[in-house]
Amino acid sequence: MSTGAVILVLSSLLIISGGLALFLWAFFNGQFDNIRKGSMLPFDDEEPAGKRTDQIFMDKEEGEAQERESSEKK
Amino acid sequence: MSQAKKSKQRKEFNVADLDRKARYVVLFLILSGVFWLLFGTLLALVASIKMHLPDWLGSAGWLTFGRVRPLHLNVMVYGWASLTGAGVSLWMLSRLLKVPIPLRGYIIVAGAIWNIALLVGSIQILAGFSRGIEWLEFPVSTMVVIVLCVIIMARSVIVMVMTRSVKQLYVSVWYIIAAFVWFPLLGLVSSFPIFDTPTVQAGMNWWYAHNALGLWFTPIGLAAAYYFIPKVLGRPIYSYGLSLLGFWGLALFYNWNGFHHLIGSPLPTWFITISIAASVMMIIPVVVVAVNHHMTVVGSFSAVTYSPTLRFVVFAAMSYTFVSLQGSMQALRSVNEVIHFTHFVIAHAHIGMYAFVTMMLFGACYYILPRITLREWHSKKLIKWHFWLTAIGIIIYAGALQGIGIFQGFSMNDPDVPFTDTVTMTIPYLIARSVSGILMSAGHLIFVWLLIRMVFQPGEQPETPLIWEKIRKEFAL
Repeated sequence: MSTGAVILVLSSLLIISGGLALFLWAFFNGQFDNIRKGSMLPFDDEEPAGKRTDQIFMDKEEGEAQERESSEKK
Repeated sequence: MSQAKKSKQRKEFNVADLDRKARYVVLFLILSGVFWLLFGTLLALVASIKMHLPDWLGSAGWLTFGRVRPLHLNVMVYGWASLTGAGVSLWMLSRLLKVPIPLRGYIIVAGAIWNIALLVGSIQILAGFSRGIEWLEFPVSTMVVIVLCVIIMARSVIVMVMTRSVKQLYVSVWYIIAAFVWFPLLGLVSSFPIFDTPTVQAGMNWWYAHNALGLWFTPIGLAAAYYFIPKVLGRPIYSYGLSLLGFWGLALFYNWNGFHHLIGSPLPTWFITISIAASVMMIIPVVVVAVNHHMTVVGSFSAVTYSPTLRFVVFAAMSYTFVSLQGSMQALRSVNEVIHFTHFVIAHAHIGMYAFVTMMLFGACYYILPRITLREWHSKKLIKWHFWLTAIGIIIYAGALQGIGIFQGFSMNDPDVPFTDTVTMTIPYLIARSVSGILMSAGHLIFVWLLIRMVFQPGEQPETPLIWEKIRKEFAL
């Protein structure tokens, strides 16, 4: 095989082995310990789960009606 | 000292602080990207029209198809998608890791140098100094500069991860870290002056080009999908475990996929066979991602009607599933021998880079820009026009070219059909491609106009900032 082909194969193996190394680090670092908590990471106190954002096409009246409906349900 | 203790000692940043600090760097990267989007769109239209009117603008050498088309591709890939993708990624990381973007001055300087490199590279391609390798037509000097700029941004990514205020990393963070590590590797390896024989150069070409899509743009696109779908819906992702499976599947299976473009070439058979196997293995992470996105949105589909971000992001996520499954099938030898060298593959690439990546970036921009500029989008109607023009445009594009591509492939394999017939039969569909290009271009112009109105605020400002009111309510600013 030419040097170029060897470099391609080695680079591919590097990407895979880098991925494996990262996986092992993540595993031993406890990144997979609490899978349930992981899904909540985009949310926090300022932007909590349960609150839709970016609903800019909604009319004011419709939004207020939906808000009333959801607070009545609660 | 444990990460948790370190995090406690660090200053807590609220969302408004993070967005304020991200403002100039993210805005600069997105605006730069949008400039190249416009330039790339113009080149795309010229190249598309030349496909059915080959004499049009044919007298000037720098406007010939062989220069305009590669420049369109390179400008869209390294200008629009990469610069905007970098801006979107840095903003998401700042939000998810709850730390401001570090090295902001360096990133802006790197972005400026990146733009200059694109400009120089563009002039070189138009002047006829192309490398002649698909996706790598820019001269090596331009490519090396771009890679160095990405490395500077990657350093910022690593600093953010090291100084983060949260312990656990969200799946979008995994994707972004991986993208900023993989792309410099791909760019540097492809720039080595060692791929000197045609066969090896072809191998490097498709190893690079396929991985640039799969290991640079796909991670950024999926990171955005995993961030914006839950954020807009206010609902966590259906299965975090599945999302991780999807990420590690991509990391392990994707990078050998590109050689399936070389079925029938003089490359060793084992290269190709491993590539086909890896391409088929990609069905696992793709289906996992698709199920996860679908199950997250199901039951809340009305939100798509109300959110510009979600419209674009859901369209992009569906396109990702479609194009990836199609890619796995295309890798099979029996399918490949029909569609290879036809317009089917061109459409496939556009579904990946446009219907998936570009639509995802549009969606991200609609979410991010009001938050970093603290200004509203000026017209809800124009946002809807933008969505429908681009969505219908790419659907016509893909439908026309993939439809005729299959017939073209069968005709090319039929020894009784003259080759000229296989070319002329495509002309009506190439005209449809130009029409679809006009629709997408109109969508881009609307997006640019909305962006200019938001950022530079020319003309009268609306008296009732309806959209801004919504944002204000969301964040209680």
